[in-house]
Amino acid sequence: MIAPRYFWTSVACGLLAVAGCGLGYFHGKKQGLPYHDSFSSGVTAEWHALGGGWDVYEGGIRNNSDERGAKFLTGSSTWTNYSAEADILLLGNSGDAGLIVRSNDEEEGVDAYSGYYAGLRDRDDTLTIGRADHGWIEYGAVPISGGVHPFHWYHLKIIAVGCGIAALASDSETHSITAAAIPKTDCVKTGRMGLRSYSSGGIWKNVRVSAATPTDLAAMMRSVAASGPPEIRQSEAGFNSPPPNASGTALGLAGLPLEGAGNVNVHTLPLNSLRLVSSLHPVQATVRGSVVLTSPSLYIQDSTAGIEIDSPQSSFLKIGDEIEATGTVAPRGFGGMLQNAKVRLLWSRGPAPPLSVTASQAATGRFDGMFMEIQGRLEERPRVAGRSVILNLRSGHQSYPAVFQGARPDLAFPKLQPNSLLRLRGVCVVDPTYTKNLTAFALLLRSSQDVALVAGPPWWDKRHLVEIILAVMILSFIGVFIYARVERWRLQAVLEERSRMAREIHDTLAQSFAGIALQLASALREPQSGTAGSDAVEMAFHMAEQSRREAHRSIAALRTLHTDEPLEAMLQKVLRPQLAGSHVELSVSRTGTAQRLSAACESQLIRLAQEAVANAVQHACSSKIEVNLSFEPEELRLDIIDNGQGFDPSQVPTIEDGHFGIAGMKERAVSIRAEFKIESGPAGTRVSILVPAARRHPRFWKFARLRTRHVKPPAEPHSYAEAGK
Amino acid sequence: MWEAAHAGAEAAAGETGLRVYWNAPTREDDVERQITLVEKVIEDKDAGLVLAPTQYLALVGPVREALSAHIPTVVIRSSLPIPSGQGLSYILNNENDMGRMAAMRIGGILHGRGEVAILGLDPDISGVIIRSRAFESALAANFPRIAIVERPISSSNAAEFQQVAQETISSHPGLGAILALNVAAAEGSWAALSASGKTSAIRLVACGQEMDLMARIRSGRLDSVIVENTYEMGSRAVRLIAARRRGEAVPDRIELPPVLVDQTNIDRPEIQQMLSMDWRPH
Repeated sequence: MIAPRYFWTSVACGLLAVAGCGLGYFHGKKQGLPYHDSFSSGVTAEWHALGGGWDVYEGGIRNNSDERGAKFLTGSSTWTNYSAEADILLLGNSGDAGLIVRSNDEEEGVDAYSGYYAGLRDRDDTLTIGRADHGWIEYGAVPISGGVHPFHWYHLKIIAVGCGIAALASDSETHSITAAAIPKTDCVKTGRMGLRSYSSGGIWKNVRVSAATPTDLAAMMRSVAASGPPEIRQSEAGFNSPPPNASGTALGLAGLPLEGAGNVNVHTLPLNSLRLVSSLHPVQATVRGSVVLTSPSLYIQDSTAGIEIDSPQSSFLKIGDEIEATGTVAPRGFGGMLQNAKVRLLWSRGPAPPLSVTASQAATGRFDGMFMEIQGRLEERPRVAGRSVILNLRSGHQSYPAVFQGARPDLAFPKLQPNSLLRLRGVCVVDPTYTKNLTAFALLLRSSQDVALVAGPPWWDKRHLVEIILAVMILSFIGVFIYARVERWRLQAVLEERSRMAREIHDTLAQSFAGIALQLASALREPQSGTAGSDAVEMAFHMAEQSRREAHRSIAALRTLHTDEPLEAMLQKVLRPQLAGSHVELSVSRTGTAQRLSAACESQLIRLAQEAVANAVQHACSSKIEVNLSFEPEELRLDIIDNGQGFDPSQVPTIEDGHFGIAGMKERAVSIRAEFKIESGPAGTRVSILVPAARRHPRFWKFARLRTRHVKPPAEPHSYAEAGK
Repeated sequence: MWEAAHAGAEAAAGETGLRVYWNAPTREDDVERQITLVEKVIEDKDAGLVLAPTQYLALVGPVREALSAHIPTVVIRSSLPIPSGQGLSYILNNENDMGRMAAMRIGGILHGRGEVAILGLDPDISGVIIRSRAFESALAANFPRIAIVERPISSSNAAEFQQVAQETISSHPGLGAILALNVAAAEGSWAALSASGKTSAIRLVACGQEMDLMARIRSGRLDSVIVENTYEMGSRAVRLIAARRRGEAVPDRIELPPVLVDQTNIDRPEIQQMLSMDWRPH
């Protein structure tokens, strides 16, 4: 009954623990609201990027990429009714930027998530709202008064309560308000929130997420009603009605602090030609290229080469922008630099794919200023130097640093371990500012997402090898210690067994041989006396026969007696051969329900019975011996009762007297923690062994018993007389 | 253009009992991400793969892996250097038709005489080469008095197309039309025409499918767009996979005729269905 009680107690405790964890989890997530991230700490560990180039930038988070559908997610998949809001600035035209709510199943991809999105789109100057489910369903695109302009701040709030989803946008300067909503249909009920941009990049500040109520939703819906009913815009006619702003894709850059493009300069130079420009006289040049890096310096590349552009307008550009720059060429090393450049934005497009090169190829300088992908093994932990974090890498015979600048560089790569194999994307530069003339080139990273872990450090590094050697040494020491202890126990057991055998031999064979020697000596002294000599030889013969029996008994005693037979039957098998040839009457009986004992306990009881029977035959001249087994609730009692002449127990010879019989029996009883008693008188002797119940069947011995091999009981001894027949 | 393919695929999936997983890289040229998506299909042991490859060679290995995994595969729009059959089918745009339609349109615009430039000739894209040759052949056969004055080879960068278009406009005052062989060339040409104020004097005929191009047709500043029927590509691809899974014989290669869209027909239901972005299951 005890075990089930423990079981149910354990089950209850387990359930309580699980319930506690669950409550803690959900309670903790609920405590996550309201959530506010001003990005002032520079830490974005709570966010997860899928595409784009996300980095902390002047108190906000910036996606400096034109990728389609780049996402930056945070929060819990259990968030249900809440609103998300942020200040948003678009970094380019012909795209959108906004907020995601109730997002699930996110992947990298254009519309690869299930959730709701509201964004500010400058292509058609609208607040767009819709649902993504690995595809985009646009429920509405409400024109924003005054339009949507790049580099202009808006405030956007999206709310999700039940199946009601609505969004509200306001202009930071004019404070004009625009609202849009999704009609109530089957909806995604829970999910994370996120930031997203499509083809434009953007900056988000003061991101707030708060629990929302139907009252909050109703308040926003009043603004939606003023804006008119939504319509699903999934057809070309709907999508292009009203048509996009007349300024078009590349040329209408209202509000952009860059000169808008008109006719492009058809006399631009390929970037690799700037390497040949003389350094004797300042040369003005116009170049075109795609922006591959904006920080710490502005780099552009075309199909021939890359170049650094020194321009005060660089902070308004983003990766992927096609620009035209006019400035003074400053040749240097392998590449060049365009100083005091005036920049014109031509197109906003997705970033150029990287060139995949080896470190040896990069070290030639041929890829100076170009965006590339390279692999390397991290030589040491990332090192912070001012606003930069430096990753020292090695690939083959080339070492090179990868440099990243961020708000909190110390937190940029918290998990990178030395010896990890990394894949990096960045702009290759041979500028000594970064190489310190210690390496052939350096890599300027665009964002922390430009570092991908290919493989962790190999397990056989120095530290692990030392740890393994130490562990092996400790285990070896423990093994040797255990082996020594086991050997000591084994030796002790051998010595104990030898002592026991000495007792056996002394009590039986030694004494018999002494008697035989005495009789034979007597026969030799009186060879002329035929009768006396014959009597002595006959006595010696009988003693030798007795000794043979004793020897057989001793040999049998050395063998394992235990079998799976009941104890009562084993006693019968062992004791009957002992009395063979005598006229002693033996009876073995049992009372109570028979139970199995441990193998050691049963063996010792059989030995005790053998010794008691032998004593009864040899010393008491008994004619009848009773062996009684009594199984009682508290103890097992074994009585050996004979009707012999008895003796005085107080006069029993001791080990000191050279006799081991009774003393050996007492030792056997002690070994199984049994009580040993002898009662003797003229009518006979009773030897009693009382085994307490706790000792009879300990679990360990039960286990051991099941693995005891079946052993045949000793065979009945042959007599010399029988052998001589 | 892929919203239309998505819509077609979803429409066919609704009829065939298949479910569509739809995804695309955030950058159009992100081959690595597209390979990852193919590997995901193989790993998930999906019923089939519909792929619009972004690159001619890089996707050969992943597609062969998908075929080895006995995933029926349909490559749409651009072919790969893998023979069809053995589980692979192609559904492509009929480039010869597209070239011929462009020639007939421009011949009509110029009334049989004048100058035309071809932009967007990329030797790495076989479909574009076929398209261009078909245009030239049809033009020579039907309008021998129209001269092709420029056919520069260039990559798919819109900024470069704009520069090339501007140079062409400057150097050929008698230019009457431009054929843009792809969307990037169309955007670059249109930007150059807008900047030089010649959207009316020089008519632009484009090949491809993009919502912004349709908007310019509506505004009258773009003559016409010869559209690849990506809606039908998505729809046929899903039907082919379903048929192949049923053990039916399916064609290894289908070429779909393109459709010329201009101001006169853009609002027709069949055109609107072809341009549909409504992928919601019906």
